[in-house]
Amino acid sequence: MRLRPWIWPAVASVVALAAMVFGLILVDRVGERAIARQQTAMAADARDYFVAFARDEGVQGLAAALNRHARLSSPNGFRYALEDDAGHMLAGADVVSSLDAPDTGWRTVVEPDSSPRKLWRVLAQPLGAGYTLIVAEDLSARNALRAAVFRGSALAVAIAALGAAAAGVGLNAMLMRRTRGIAHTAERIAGGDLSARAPVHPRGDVFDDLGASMNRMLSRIEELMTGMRTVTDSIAHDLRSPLTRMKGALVRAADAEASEADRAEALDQANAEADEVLATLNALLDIARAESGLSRDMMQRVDLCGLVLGLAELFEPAMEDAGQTLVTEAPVGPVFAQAHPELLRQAVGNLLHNAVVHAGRGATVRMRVEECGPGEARISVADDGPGVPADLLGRAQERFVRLETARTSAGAGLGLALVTACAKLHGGRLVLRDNRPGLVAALELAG
Amino acid sequence: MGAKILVVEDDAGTAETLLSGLRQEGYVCEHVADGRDALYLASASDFDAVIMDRMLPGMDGLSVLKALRAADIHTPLLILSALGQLDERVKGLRAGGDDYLAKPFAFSELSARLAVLLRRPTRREEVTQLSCGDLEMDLLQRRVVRAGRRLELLPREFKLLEHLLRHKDRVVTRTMMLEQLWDYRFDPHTSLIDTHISRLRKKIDDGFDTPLLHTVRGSGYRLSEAA
Repeated sequence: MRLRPWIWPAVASVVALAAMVFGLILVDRVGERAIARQQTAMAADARDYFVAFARDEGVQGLAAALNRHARLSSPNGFRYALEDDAGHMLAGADVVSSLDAPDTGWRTVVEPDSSPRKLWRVLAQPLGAGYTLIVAEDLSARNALRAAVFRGSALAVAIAALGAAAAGVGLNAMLMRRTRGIAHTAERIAGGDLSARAPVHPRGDVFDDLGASMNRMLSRIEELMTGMRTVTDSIAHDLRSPLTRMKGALVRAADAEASEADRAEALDQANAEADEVLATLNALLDIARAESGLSRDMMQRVDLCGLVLGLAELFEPAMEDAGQTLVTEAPVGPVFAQAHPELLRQAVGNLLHNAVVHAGRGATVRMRVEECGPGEARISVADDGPGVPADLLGRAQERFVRLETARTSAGAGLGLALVTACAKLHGGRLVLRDNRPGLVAALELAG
Repeated sequence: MGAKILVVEDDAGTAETLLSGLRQEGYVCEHVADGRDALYLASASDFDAVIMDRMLPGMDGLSVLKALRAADIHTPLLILSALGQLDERVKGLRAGGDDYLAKPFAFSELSARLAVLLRRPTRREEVTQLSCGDLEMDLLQRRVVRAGRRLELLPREFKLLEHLLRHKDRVVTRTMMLEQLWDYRFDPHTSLIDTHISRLRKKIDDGFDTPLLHTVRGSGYRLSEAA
């Protein structure tokens, strides 16, 4: 079912109405029974009183008392009379003589010639010697009492229902006001303005929580969208160059007048350019996969020391060729972490590769493994080469960013982006710092 | 008669390249394009190796592989796939594949890997001595001697030489060495292998008449007496 704006007042009204009907039925039934029981008890009380009176004061005394009562008392619904065995009224209220009283016990009778019809509840009590005491209750009085109770209850329930409806309308207005801000934000996002954010008050109720969650989601989406846009632009740019060179080489190779040696060289070049394109695409796929978190099921317990020592062995000759010294500092025992070994090896390999390419001759490169806490570790690669200017440290991690100083060397600028994605997959981050001089790249793993 | 290879590949162009290349190298090939046919053929007749694409009509390549292994058929199997990502590679190997090659690939790379698969002994014999010409390696004492002269090798150089000796007279590609020696699956850094090879070459070939370590243009390296 859809939650339409009017749903709250509607629900409140239905609830109030149901409560009202229920309450009134309850009052009607319970009230009627209570009133009937009470009136019956009153009639029986009066009968017992007059029977005792007759025993003490005699029938004449009772007759006098009934007459006095009929004269002096305001009619409260009860009438009393004394009759002889022929049915003639000896004393009491006149109206009783017209009623068709039973010989003894209860009976409900209609007052003759009454309009509207008037009902009486009659109780007859023989007093001996042919005398009968009649107690008659005017049922219209009883109904009036019942109606009064009913009216009172109805008023109370109606006030409660109105209150509920008002609260419903109020709550509705509040909900509408609070959701309108969020809906408005969503509209702006849909309209293409990715910078729109839901209003969040510091009070922090559920809607503020919702808004805050939504804002976090929007920030992430905006980040991804911006990343995507940059990537698309950069792919276009970075793939166009090798593809153009490849096309050139192929044209040279197809030239009918080219010598066999030129042709072979051109084909080699085309091959190399194709490799570069493939490497770029592969790196992009790896990054995308790491970032999407799909690789998470490949995580396993990995000894980081063993991993780093293996990499050191692999990169040592390349570092020597670049005139650099590689120093590996790792604890003696193993350092275990929950990791994606292939991706992690590739990420640290990228850091080492960066050092080989950018740290320059004579640099000392230090690769270090540290255990920072249970399941937490840091792998850092530090060099004392020219480093990266402080204002460019953040940019260096973006995809396809090659800092101007590095423009001359090859590579699609995906190395650090992969390291960053790898860190994210491991619940950690990549920290780039100034090593005074040089650069420290620390891959922090949270396991 | 050459080894019998089953090629399972649904892309006609790739299949054509593969088949002509393999036949040129003297292999006997059969080709199917459907996963179910592949499972049927591989279980019905005796192949020396299977080259199978990962994405197939009829039945997914990994499922075919799992079904074969479940049926206790252990024909060496090389998976080809456009999904050249780390995870896919690991999944393929975990499912019982013997090697994994990402498309697009160089035929020389495939051929080198196929040769290794076909040579893979059913039971790994305990070898203590390896040799190539006048070069001898003692695996127990970790000694390398060429023409009676002791060569001092670093552990990483020893490891590399042992690998080349075990694949004597065959091409070993850079990617194969990266994968098998350092567990490193990252193509852009294949030139790292060249730095290792040039050091090893200096130690085993410098000062001797016949070079043993040959560069095979466009594919990798080969250790052999013949040039």
